[in-house]
Amino acid sequence: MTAAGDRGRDGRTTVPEDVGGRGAGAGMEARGVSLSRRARSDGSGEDRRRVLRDVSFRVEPGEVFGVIGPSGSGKTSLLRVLNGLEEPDEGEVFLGGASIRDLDPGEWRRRVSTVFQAPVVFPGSVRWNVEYALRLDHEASDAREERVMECLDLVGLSWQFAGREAEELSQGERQRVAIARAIAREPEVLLMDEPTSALDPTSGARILELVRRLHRELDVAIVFVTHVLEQARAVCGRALVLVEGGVVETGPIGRLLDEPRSGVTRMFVEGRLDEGATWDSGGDRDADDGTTGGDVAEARSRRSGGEA
Amino acid sequence: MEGYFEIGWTDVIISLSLIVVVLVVAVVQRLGIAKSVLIGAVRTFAQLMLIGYVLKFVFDLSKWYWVVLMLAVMLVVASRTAAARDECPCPGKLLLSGTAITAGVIITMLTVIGFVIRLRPWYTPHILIPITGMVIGNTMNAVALTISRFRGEVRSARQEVETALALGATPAEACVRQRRQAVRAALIPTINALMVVGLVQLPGMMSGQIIAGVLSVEAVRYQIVIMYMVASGAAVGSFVAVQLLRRQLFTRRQQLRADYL
Repeated sequence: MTAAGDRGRDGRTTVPEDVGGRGAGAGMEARGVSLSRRARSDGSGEDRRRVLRDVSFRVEPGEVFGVIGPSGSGKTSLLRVLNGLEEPDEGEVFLGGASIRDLDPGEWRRRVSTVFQAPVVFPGSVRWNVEYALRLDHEASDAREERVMECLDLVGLSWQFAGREAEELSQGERQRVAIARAIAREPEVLLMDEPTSALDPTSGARILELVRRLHRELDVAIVFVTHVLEQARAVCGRALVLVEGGVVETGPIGRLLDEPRSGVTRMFVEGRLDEGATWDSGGDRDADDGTTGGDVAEARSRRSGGEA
Repeated sequence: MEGYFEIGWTDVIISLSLIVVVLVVAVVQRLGIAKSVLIGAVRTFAQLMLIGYVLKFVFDLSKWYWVVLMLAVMLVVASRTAAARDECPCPGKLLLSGTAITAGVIITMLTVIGFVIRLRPWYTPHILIPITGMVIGNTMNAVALTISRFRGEVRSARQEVETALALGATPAEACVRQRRQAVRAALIPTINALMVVGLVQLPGMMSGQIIAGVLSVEAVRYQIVIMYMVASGAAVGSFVAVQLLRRQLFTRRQQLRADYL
């Protein structure tokens, strides 16, 4: 893990060294990313709610990096910033040394692909869906056809699926199509936002197996968002714990789940961070060391600030 | 004139009983539109009276600048109406609807004045004002429908649009289906009118001439041209509106502006 706290004073001009690695893939780095949104309830004035607070981390090439945290902690928002679907108020995201602000959005999203929580497929055939991004590149139809078959094979769908209407597939099959579509242009980073949460347990298990397969067979870094700890343990090498938009702790997934250094992480792992649990119910007791991005005291102070 | 039955002010007042029928329905059914019906009835009376005098004034003077001013006022009112029909919080809505309606009207009218009717002088008020008014009215409806339909389509297909963006599509590519649906929906009333004109409903201009007892083949030809004109205005206006609104709904960094949906 590259220390996240070593960002330069001027995040825009201090470009990190290229995180080369296995194959041609690139690493991704977020530096001091903060995001706020206009509060929905009261439209008057500039009432904004902070969604992400000074989030920094680095994903090495070819690794599966987990973003774990309870529901509503900002995981999806973080992924949207990483993909460029939302503009952070502060901070920056880098891919292989290039800032998101310096690249054309289309080029960035060519290199950083996303699989969303709900398996969204476009009206049309499975083939039409998988080759969607390839058509954007005006690739020849022969090359597209070949790539579609490769991708379907990779996600475990037989070629007979190519002609079927995507919207008629089961949720699990749709998610496979969405994954095939996301990897068709060989992205360097694949963002996966709770890809199993809309699926039944069997389909979910198959998707997890697929994530492991993609990790083995493709030169792609995967950012895997989940609130299910067993899933994180099953697929991730390292992870960060995100609570109320702030990074609580970053480290190897086994260490995070078995020996959390932060009291907040411990509460999350033990399932005490959900509704009903309070930050005082044991947090201080365990907040014992310099965790990466925050501790209980800091988290509580954020909370008492009324921003969350 | 033979067969022409004059309407006096007393007759107009008697016709108000029809509005009373509407009010009764509104009150009995508790539709909550009684006030709007009353205001609408009063506005119809006042606006048509006013426009009658204004038109007479403009026709009598027959000066190009009065004609242009009148058309400009009609365009402004139509733009405001189209913009107000949608609740989109995005800024520049009036400019958007104004540009779209003006584009539709100007392209249509230049074609007609230059190549079809060949008006001499080009500002002949008793021809230019009524037919331009028809084009403006129809284009206004098409633009208003386009704005609300496109926003609604993108809102309901937000995940689909953002998935396309996330795959590297430009905003134009990401919402191509929603754009088509919006323009198609906005043009349905116009296309329906082209299909059934004369069979179900006689157009306003022809009806006026029939009632006045002056219907001629010349008037029918005018009506055909007007039907094509309103279709053209609606199509151009709708196309321009959807392009401009698409630019509003996405940022320069190709992000969907959820707060505008």
